[in-house]
Amino acid sequence: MAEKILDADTTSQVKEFFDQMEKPVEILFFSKEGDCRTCGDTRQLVGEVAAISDHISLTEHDIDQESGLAGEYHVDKTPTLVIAGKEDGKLTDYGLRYAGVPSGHEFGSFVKDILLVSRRDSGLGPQMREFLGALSKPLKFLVFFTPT
Amino acid sequence: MEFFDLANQYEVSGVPHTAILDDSGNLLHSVIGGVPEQFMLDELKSKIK
Repeated sequence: MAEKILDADTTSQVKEFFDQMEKPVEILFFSKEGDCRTCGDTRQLVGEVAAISDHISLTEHDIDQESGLAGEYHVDKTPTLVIAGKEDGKLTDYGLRYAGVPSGHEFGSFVKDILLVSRRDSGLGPQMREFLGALSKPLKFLVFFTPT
Repeated sequence: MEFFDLANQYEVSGVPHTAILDDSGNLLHSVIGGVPEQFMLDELKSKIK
């Protein structure tokens, strides 16, 4: 059995955070057999995270074997994590994607995003909501970070 | 580095780096650093038409 990535203290802190979750969340993990350097680490980390709360379900999808689903979620690289809301078996996509292992400083953002999706609220202020709501065309935000 | 080509495509030399794209994937603006929401809003208002 592989050594756990999350130590007891971190798991306890994340559990305390996840106790504030309100609605179910599903994490879709897109992987690729053979040619994915960090899929193993991502699988283990997200598996440990999902095991912390009953509000989180986790599914894994091969980007090649399930190319239709990958296309539906605009996933073109592995590993990619999609954080979606889940209601009566139906998923709601909020456009959140993590490409690569969400570790290091980004782990906090990953955990926070799971909580935000569970609340079905971005937490953005009224001015930002007004600006974004008035956009006439879609925007895509790519946030680059390091996993350490 | 993971996704080196993607980072190279958007000229990422430091993190965090937020690239804002249109729906065709064209780069509209970049914001470097972890910035407060109001700063990001001001950047968007000034650069995104």
